[in-house]
Amino acid sequence: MNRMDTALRELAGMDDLAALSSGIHDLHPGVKLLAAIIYIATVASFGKYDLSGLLPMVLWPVLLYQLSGIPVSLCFRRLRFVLPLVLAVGIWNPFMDRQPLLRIGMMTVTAGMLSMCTLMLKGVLCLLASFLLMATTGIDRLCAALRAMHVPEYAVTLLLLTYRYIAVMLREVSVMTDAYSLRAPGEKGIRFRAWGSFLGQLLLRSMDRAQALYDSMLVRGYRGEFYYAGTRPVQGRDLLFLALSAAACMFFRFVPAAQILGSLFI
Amino acid sequence: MHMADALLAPAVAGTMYVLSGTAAGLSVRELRKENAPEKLPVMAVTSALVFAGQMINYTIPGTGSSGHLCGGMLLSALLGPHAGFLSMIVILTIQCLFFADGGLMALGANVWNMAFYGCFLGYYLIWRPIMQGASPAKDRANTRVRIIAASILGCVISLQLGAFSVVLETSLSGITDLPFVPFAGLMLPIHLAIGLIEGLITSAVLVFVYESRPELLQELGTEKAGSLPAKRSLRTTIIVLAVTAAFVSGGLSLFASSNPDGLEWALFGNEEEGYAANMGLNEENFGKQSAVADTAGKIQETTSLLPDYAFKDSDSAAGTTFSGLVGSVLVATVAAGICIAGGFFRKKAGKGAEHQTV
Amino acid sequence: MIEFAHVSCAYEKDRPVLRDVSFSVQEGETVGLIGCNGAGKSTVMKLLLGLLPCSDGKITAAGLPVDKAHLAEIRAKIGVVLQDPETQMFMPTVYEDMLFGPMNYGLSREEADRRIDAALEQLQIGHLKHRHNHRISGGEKRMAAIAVILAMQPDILLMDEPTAALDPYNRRKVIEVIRNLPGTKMITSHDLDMICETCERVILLCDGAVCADGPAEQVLRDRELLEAHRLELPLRYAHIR
Repeated sequence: MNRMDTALRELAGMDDLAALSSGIHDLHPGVKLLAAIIYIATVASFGKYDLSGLLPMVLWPVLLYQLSGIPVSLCFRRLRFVLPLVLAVGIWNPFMDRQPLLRIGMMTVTAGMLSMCTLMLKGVLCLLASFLLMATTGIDRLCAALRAMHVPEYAVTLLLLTYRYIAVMLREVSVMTDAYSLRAPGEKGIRFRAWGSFLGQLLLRSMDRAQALYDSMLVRGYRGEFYYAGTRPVQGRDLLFLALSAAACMFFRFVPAAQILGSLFI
Repeated sequence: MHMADALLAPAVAGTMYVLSGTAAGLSVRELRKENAPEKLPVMAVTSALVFAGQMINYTIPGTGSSGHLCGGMLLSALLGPHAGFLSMIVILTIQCLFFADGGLMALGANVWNMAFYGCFLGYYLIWRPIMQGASPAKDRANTRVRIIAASILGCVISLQLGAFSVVLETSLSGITDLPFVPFAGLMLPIHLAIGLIEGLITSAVLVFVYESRPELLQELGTEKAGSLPAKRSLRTTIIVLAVTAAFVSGGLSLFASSNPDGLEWALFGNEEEGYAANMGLNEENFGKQSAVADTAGKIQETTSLLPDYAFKDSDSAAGTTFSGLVGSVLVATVAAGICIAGGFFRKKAGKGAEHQTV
Repeated sequence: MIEFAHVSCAYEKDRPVLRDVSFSVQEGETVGLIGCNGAGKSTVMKLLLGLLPCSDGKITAAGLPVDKAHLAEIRAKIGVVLQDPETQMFMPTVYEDMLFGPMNYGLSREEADRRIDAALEQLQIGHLKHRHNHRISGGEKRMAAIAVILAMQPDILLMDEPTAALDPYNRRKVIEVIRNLPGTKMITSHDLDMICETCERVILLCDGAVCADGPAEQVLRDRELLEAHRLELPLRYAHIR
């Protein structure tokens, strides 16, 4: 299984998730986008040592995952891009910032350890939100929403067409890579001498495909406008969701819920 | 080089959104003016190809490692800077939304770091000046050398600037305790190597395209290149560019290393402008005290929508008391509870549905 | 419905792709356009749709001359099923692809939906409506591509290699669909057995010129003619000496 096939499978997985139906799926995509941005901005706004304040933020997405029927575990597989990067930046904190904060038994927690953990948690939470957004929305509804939000037609159409052809291209590159590696056993990738022609061939073929694609658009009357299936106006329930979502973010941002909860028990 | 949401403060992310958004708006306007609807499918198919092409492993001769393509330079050489920039935005958006590579809030920064430099600087400062001197009809070897030089220079410079922006954005966001200079010292050399390899891959593809369908390359389109009066020689162009590059990178490192708080100087030192107040910073050593700064400081204490430069001995770590720890464990339990409950109800609902069908 | 009168066409000077091609297709006729690779079949289709300019001669489609002024009108009346469904279907889902044509020609959403459902019903592929284009199988893609065009309710239907890369079951299905479709049709293919079953008339192109034009029964049984133009007898006539 090469990387292209993995990507194809992930793409297909997202489509399947977006095809499920739930109250969250039915919400207006623009409202969901806004709610996700509010959530991510709130997460990012927590202080770098405020781990216990940040932690309750996990409750809101977890609740939404359950309501929409999207398995949280699927999202964790996507962490492979984000976490290493966040870790690479955060790993320095424990070494640079050795101020002791707390002693649990024999172990001393330093400020640097705390800020590293906070950073990692931020990474996870942000991903939870954006994954949920796409898993319950899908490209067609997203494009419809972007159009409704007056993002230029040119850009939205480009997004839509690119998304469509990514699947086609991934398959082609996958087949070509397999064909290459069958004739070049023991090589891990494409060797220097073939760099240009490997991608170049594909590129030239793609240009012809683009021409045929444009013909196909023309003969079906293309006049600069695409039509999207998933358009509907914003309704009361969308606004309710947005209000709830924003309220949850604000509540957890300004009320140290974990701290209060903890002090009830000691 | 994809930035993650967690590495950015909302204010920095917002600024980058505004910058990238402006560049995107201008590009859309240029493309509208150009009014070439047939370019749209070409852009879509090419960006889809670059997306897939980024996943190919290219083995680097003499080493066991492999390199990848980034695409900004390639796309602008094929489509022009504006179309290339939009295509890169679309690629980065899809990567962020469907593959969790980069983040929703960090998208603005990612577009700037990975698309802006390659597409605009790479095109206007490198690709065009170098290619304008080419005479593809007469001297094929010379044109080939120009393509290779432009690709490598373009990739190296745009990646250096991109990596520098990553360091700058992360430091401005106050995320890492790693001081600015060593951080930059870590990132830039790594990206110098990456940029070189990218440049080689890009040039290989562009030379192939040039050999088979030269009309596809920007600035090589027959009549435009030929009609230019003053042709610069390749050598002068490259020398000019190399000197500029040396100046820029020298300046950047000087700025960074002048003193350890070179960055802080930029942030807090500008008293007249009230920069510290604008940024909501209330540090004793920097900036003058004022009512605005106080209020801003208070806001900053409770929220840190703006970068949090909390100093190590400040109170912001007070949240980590024992009760905070206990509370966190409880929160984790509640979260797990929601998951289990959700699973339980779904199973029940599933069974109910089965009964109905039977 | 379709008329080519002394049409010539060249991509490059001195290298004509079509040379003095003349034929006409009556309303309700199904015509097979055959010929070896590079004979000019696709060029004929492109000329008919106004995607290429012809250097000489006159083309008429649905009673209108094919020129800049009538292009929109003509394209609204001609539906073309391209050889590669991947290129033809550029929207994410089958439904949105089917919506594209009718909406562009100014139909209301309700009318477009009615036509889409009718086309899906006609091909019995209602279950594909909301599926993603990159997730359906090759056979399904072909059927969906035909449905996309049928939703436009064209007067003339052009099909480029409709049975290419299909398994026997799906090929049979497509043949049945073509046989049951009313209206004027023009089909290009190398699958001569399929042409036999679907077309009453065949035009044989060779090197950009019409070499034969007649009833399918007659042209497709002519071993000498077909072999002279790098084609083979359809299997059903293979016993003919």
